[in-house]
Amino acid sequence: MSGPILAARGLTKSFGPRRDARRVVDDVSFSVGPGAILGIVGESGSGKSTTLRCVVGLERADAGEVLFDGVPLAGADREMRRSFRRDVQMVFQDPYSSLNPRMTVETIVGEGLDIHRAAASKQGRRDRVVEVLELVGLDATILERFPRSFSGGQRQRIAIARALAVGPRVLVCDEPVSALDVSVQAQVVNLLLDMQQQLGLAVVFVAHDLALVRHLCHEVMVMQHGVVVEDGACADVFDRPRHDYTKSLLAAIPIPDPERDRARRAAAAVDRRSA
Amino acid sequence: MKGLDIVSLNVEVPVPATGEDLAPRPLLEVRDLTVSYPGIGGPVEIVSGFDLTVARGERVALVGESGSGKSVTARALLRLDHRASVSGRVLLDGTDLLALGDAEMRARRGSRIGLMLQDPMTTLNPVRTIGSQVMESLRVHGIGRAEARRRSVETLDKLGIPDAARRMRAYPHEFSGGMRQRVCLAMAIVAHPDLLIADEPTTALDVRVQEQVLSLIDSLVAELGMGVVLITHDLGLVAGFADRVAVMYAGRGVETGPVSELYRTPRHPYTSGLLASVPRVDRDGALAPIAGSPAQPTSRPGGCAFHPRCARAEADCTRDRPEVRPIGGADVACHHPLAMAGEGAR
Repeated sequence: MSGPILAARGLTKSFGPRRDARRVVDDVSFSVGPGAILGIVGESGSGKSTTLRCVVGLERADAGEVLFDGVPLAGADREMRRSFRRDVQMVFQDPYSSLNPRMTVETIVGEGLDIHRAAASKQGRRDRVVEVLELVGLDATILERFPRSFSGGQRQRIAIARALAVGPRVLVCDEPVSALDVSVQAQVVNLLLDMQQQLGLAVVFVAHDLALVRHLCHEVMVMQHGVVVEDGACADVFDRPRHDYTKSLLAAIPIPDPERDRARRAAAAVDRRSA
Repeated sequence: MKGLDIVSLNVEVPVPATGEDLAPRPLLEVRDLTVSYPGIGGPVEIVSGFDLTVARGERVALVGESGSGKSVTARALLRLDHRASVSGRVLLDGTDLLALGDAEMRARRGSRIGLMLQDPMTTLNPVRTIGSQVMESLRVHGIGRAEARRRSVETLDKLGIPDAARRMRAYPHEFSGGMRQRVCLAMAIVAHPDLLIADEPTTALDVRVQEQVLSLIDSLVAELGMGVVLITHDLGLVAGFADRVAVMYAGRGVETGPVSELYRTPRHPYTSGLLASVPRVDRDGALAPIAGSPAQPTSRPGGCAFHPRCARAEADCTRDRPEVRPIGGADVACHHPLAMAGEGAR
């Protein structure tokens, strides 16, 4: 199959009382091909996380549809929806709240295998858990330990292992590194890239860090006030942004190089004065 | 007690010669700052022998990850925590803040040193008006209500709050995140302090608002000649803003130098590792992460605290703590610093 593995058409979602509803996601459409990485960027309140939550079913969209392997989920049978829930896995922002503190690493990572009856036996389950732990750079010695004994970076590795355990085809990540220390962020980013390449996953990646999105993604979609203002290949959007909002976002990103950043900020200040 | 020894020692030791003897007295001079908190099984040292100098009109960035002690340093400079035992010297215009009485210290908070914190939602009192909170910074120093009001409006106005006189009566929830952060900045600078300490002032903000807040601080430096200590984990933020950068790791300064030099030729492996692990919007290329996680205060490795994560570590790094020494234009605490330009390149 060469069509998109995951697609959304006209997703719309409002919050608040019906009379005074706030449209948080407004007619958002996108598609991700097998093995592609789509980045969704925007400021806080732009609707990027809500879009993601509508896609995976954590929120119910008011309108629009989600297509999985080209088939609309709404009309899909039970079996299809079950396979969607197995094949599309999520990694959340904060590994301090996304791991149940009362469960061991083995139960956390193995839970999906139970739900989807993906392991033949208890031993088979343990083997699979160890396999994915090793995949993300951890090992079997931590099976009986609890989340509290791990650092943020290790917790996020556990969360990624949990997502990978059931052998998904799509990984949906909501700001997966923004809660981590700077020196650890790069480890997790490289791990995600590595997994994506090794396993041929499609990835939808929500982030406010544009430099990171540029680094990681093939395609990017820029959201503002719930609307997609610009999308396209990552290199195009970053090198030749068309929409003013994208331009202003890009102009505000600090560059870790004193001369270049100063020159750019000075130029921007001149622009502002002459505007 | 060890802490007491350091205090009594410092009374006798003259100001160390730094080669700046002929230069005018710096605005802030922090020497051998050590901060510990009570912990299970004895005091835990969070900051150890930290030095920092800030001149008038100078913007110094204090960069570190979680657990590096950067925020504890900020609070110690203002003596905000009674639980903390602080030793060393914090000279503001030559006066040692750590030797002051409580009332004298109180008189300096806000008026001589302003503090701005990361999260305006926790800094601002949700049930009091913006105006009363900004005015408080002046009122506590004995300035009359009318004068305090006038100056508060003027400051809010200068920081770009539209219709400032009317907005004085608004409550924090009526403001956006960026506007709230401007209010916090107004609270910190309304009494025209000589020194502004800003602890992650833009971390909770979107990039465009972050840019605005930094520009505001920049213009205040130019206008009022304030010194600024900007505390952040974001090396990208610092590049265009700071004059000098101090990098902290595990409670110690590991590298301090002029911003352009520090970015061009980082000497400490930790500094160069941090630079290599940040994705850049202006450049492609693989990220080179630092292995492991930041050292936590309760389990800091001996010798150089960075050695378990360091590719250049040798036997002496595990054994002896490196002293700070000048290399090029920077002060570096490393046994095996990156020597030449290019060697630390990404």
